[in-house]
Amino acid sequence: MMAQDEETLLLAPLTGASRGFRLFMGLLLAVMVVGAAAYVYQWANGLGVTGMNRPVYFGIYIVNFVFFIGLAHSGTFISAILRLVGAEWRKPVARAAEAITVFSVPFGAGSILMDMGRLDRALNIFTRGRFESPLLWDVVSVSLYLLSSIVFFYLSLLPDIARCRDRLTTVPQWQGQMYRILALGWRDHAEQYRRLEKVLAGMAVFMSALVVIVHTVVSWVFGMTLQPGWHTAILGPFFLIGAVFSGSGAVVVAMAVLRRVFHLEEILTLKHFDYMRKLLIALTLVWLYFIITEHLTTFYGQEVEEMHVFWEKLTGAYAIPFWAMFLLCFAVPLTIFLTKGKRSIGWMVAAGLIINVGMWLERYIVVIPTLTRPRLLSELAIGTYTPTWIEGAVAAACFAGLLFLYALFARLFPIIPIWERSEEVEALLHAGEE
Amino acid sequence: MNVFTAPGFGSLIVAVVLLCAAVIYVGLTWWILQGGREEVPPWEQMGWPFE
Repeated sequence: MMAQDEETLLLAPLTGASRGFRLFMGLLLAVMVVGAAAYVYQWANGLGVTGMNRPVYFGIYIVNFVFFIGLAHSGTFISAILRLVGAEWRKPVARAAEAITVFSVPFGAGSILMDMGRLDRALNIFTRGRFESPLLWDVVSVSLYLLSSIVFFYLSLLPDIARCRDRLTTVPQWQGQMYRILALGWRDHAEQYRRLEKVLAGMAVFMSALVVIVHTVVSWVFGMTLQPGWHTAILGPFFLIGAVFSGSGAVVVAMAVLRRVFHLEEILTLKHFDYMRKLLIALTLVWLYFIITEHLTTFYGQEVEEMHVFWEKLTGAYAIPFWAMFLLCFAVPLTIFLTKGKRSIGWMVAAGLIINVGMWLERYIVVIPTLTRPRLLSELAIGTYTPTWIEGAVAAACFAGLLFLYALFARLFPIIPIWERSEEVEALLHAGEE
Repeated sequence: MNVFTAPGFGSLIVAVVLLCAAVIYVGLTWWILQGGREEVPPWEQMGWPFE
């Protein structure tokens, strides 16, 4: 495809919204309104309207917190880590993945606020935050991750915003004005591109470290307690690999949807899906290894309270979600990747969705069973937890919100990086070097 | 009382880390945007009146 044609193709979605798009956004908005109403109800009546109770203090809000932060790791992994190793195939995929990061993290952090019951309690972090609390470490690492992801995302978008400012002259005035403001006076100068490349390369190193730190610190909220099933050093790496796994599954789904909706068949090719397939095969196997390691360590120790939770998961009240997780995170996707997924994008999308359902269940399995059999009560009582419709509606609204922001972004900004694929920019950079 | 365990000390850490990161990021963005500016002669920046 000629560079000019490619640019026209990539800028076309930015010039108007189809009826289908408006309908989709309307539907998401409706789900968000129901979720907001449910949250207001919770605010007015307290956390008693949720399924959370003593001793199950965490519910699906915290499950969602871990899930959304995990989902967010796709962007950093695809963009920063693959940038570091010079994998060229990441270029058309990078922004679609980074957008998942930027829009997932706020919903992850927001889930904590839902869990608090009242938003004003968030202020306690600023007035009474204690350094020895893992919750505070979470606030530092997640906030820093959000800030860094936004900057990394915005900087790599900057030349393309300027392109929108210069090329899209027929868009509504507010849209043009938005491009003008966000472009920050970008002038397409070779030196600007050179400096941008340098900063992105430097940030990629920092972001790669941050991605490891953030999800490890997220796991410490659980791992630093002496609760059975949680107090293990493997939890950090296990959370991290799960995060990259679910995030990569989400990237495959996003790639396929964008390819279909924006007619990007020549840019997001079968080759890209095949790279993702191979990456996901490796991640599936690593995930399996970690889950075996985690449970083998517990089983080998035979510590009484650990074993209560262990058997609750494998054969007790949580056996169905546990084995469903095993099927959805390992057996089904691996079968797809090794058979139909080789040639079919549809099957790859199915696998990506299945992995994410499985990974949500995995987060559920990590958080809830331990709380039903906590260390000091495990012999005395068994807790129970059933989420209410309030929690369901709020959680659904968070997912709808993520999709809404993602779709809105893809409608207003080029979802495939134009400048990173542009021969014009390449020539500009090399001309400067000579 | 140990200052490290005092309520509010953690908040200070959050504020310092985020503020430092924000300053660095603003600085980097400014540096990128300045790229090539020094090559533009001052009379061009002002708008040469005799063109």
